[in-house]
Amino acid sequence: MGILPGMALEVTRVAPLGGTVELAVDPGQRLALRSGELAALDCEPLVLPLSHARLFGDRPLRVRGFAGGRALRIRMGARGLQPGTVLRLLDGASSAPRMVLAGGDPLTLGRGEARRVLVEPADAH
Amino acid sequence: MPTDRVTVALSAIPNTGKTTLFNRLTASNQSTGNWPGVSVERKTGRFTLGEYDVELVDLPGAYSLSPATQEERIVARYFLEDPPDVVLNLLDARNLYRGLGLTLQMAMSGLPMVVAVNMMDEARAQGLRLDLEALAEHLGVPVVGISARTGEGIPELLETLYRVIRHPETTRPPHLPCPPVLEEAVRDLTRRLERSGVVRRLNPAFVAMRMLEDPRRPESPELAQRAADWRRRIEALTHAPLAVTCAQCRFNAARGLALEVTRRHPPGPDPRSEAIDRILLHRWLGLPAFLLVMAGLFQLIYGLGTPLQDLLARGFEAGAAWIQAQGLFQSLPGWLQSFVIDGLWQGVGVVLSFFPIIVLFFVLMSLVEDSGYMARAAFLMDRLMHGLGLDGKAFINLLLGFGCNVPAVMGTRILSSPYNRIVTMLLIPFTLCSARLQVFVFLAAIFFDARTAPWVILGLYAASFAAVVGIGLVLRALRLAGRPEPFIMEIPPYRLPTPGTVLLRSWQELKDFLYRAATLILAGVIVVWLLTHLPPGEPPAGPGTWAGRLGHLLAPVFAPLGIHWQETLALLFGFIAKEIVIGALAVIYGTAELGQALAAGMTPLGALSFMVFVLLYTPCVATVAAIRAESRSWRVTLLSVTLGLTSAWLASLLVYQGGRALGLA
Repeated sequence: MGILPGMALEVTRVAPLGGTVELAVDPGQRLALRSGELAALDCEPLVLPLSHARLFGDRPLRVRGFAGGRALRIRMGARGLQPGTVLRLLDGASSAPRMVLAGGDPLTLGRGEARRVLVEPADAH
Repeated sequence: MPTDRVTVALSAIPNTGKTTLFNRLTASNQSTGNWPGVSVERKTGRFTLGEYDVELVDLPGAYSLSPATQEERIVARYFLEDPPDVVLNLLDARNLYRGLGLTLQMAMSGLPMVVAVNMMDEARAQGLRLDLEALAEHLGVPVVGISARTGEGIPELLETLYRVIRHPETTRPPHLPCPPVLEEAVRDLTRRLERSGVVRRLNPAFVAMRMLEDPRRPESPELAQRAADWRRRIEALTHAPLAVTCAQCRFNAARGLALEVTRRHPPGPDPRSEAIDRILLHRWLGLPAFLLVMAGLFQLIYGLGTPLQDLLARGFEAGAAWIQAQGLFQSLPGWLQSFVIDGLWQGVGVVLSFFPIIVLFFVLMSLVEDSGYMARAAFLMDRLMHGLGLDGKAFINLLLGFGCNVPAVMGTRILSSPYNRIVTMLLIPFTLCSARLQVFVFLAAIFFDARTAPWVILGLYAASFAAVVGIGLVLRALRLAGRPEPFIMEIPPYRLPTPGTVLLRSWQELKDFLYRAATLILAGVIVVWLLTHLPPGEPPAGPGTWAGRLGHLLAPVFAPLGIHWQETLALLFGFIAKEIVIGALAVIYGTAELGQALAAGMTPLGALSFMVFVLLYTPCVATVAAIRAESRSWRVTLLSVTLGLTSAWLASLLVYQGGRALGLA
């Protein structure tokens, strides 16, 4: 179906009952598959929500964007988080992660917020 | 006057609007059959193009000619063994990249080809501009922009097709850059093929590629061996399965080509679909919305269909009365009168009684499918059905089985894999359809008091769910229906269905039902009539008839279930349809006061055991006929009947003996 090694995939949605995910492949192209099949694709995470960022290890992270609307962007901006902000997780195992921003400011996000902040390793690209 | 027969193969990846184009080109002039050796439908249609009589073959939707799925194997085999005169390849304008992989493979075959780019109207609406001339130049074949939905570009397409049929030019196959070892292998095999001197219409390089991907195809043993050797060498060098390597070069070329012909990019994903899905696939709202849609479907099909069925049934009774009043009829001997009314006429009535719900069912299912909601439903329900090895779409069929099993079985053809289709049609007969409900309501009112009866009915519904899940798990564990396939499905953008396509589809389903299932239904009804009326002279359904004797013969089998020979006989009638079980009991007991007669002879526990049997065994001859028609396999049909009878017997035994052990009898 045109999914090839080296391609970037984005998980855009998880089914309400779980187990099945929706992927965006190309702009406008959407596929549904099961998490088992997704695991078999042997993907390497490029961008993760902050809530799961411990999968990147303790590399410094960079905010890639937000999974939400303007309100979320403004709220996060007010707390010093915007696309490009570099940060380091202090306690990634917690569901409400604590972190330090590049400037040294400490910050703790709620669980719901952490799910909507998308981060990538700062050394990527 | 059309003189020459030309075969044109219509090929496309799934979700490109292939069926819409097929219907538009061939209108009602279509016929269906089977692809050799498999239970995949082979649809062909005819239309006239100038002096040519064109046979359009609808190829199954496949993503490539590499033999990964059953559909792809069919298409690949068709190209190699029976290449068409012209290939008509269809692309989705909004999704060129994914479709071009197949287009490139087809173009490599060297067969004369026309490419139609569909959904140009929607692409324009999204702000997409395509340079079709550039595409034609790169592919080396004519390209026409169309919209199968609105009919835009169809005259141009026909004109181009006519030109290509008239002057079939062997196309210049596009060259795909591949890893050197793969190119070398293709060159080597091509040379050998050319040397073998077989003249063929297919490009040798194309055949060489096919041989590499599927070395079992025997050109000659040496060549097959050679291809297998190359395949091993390539896989060792590239560290990847050959299919992946091939897909990679194909889609790299497709990506480049798609980029080159796209003049203006669309503003990302279809915003309208995104907006709708934010609600319909929402974490919390998605499931309630789905249940609402399902409730609406159910109500529309059966709420509208059942009154129509009643109307038809009344018409049939009136018809029977009219026939009986005719002088000619009355001059016939009694047994023949009965055969005409209770055999033939009733058989025709059973067939016709399904018409309203089949039409409604397919009108609504086409709407759900063509609009794109079916894929969403599959996405929402997938987890639930996964345990049974099915995908989410099967849920809809099973749910609609609770209204009537027949259209639900016919609807399994929308499911994606043969495994899904077969398992689902084996499970549907265990859903508690409305005809069975009539039997249960009648019996529950006789044997249980007003407080208990509703709970008995509810319990039977629960038993029906449990049976579906239980049998599903057994089928999966025993692999009676093959292996489940991985679930990967495209989620298409929402589309407005066209009334023409929806109506044409429903009409065809109805015709199919008539052709494929009607004879079997009629035969079933007549067999039961013969059993219950022969030998001549016996009172119908009496103990002296063959059916009565069969009932007595089977008595030892049914005795442990607490079911007497009279009820056994009624179960035999139940093969025709569950609606007539109660009527049959009245005939067998020979009384109008059926309730008293039943209550006198049967305990509530025996009645419950009887109801469980009715719930689980074969729903009706029409369902059996539909399963036979859809699976095109007597093995599956037989399996369905056997599964029903065995599970019914076991469950009734458990209920009756378990109840007795608990002291309920």
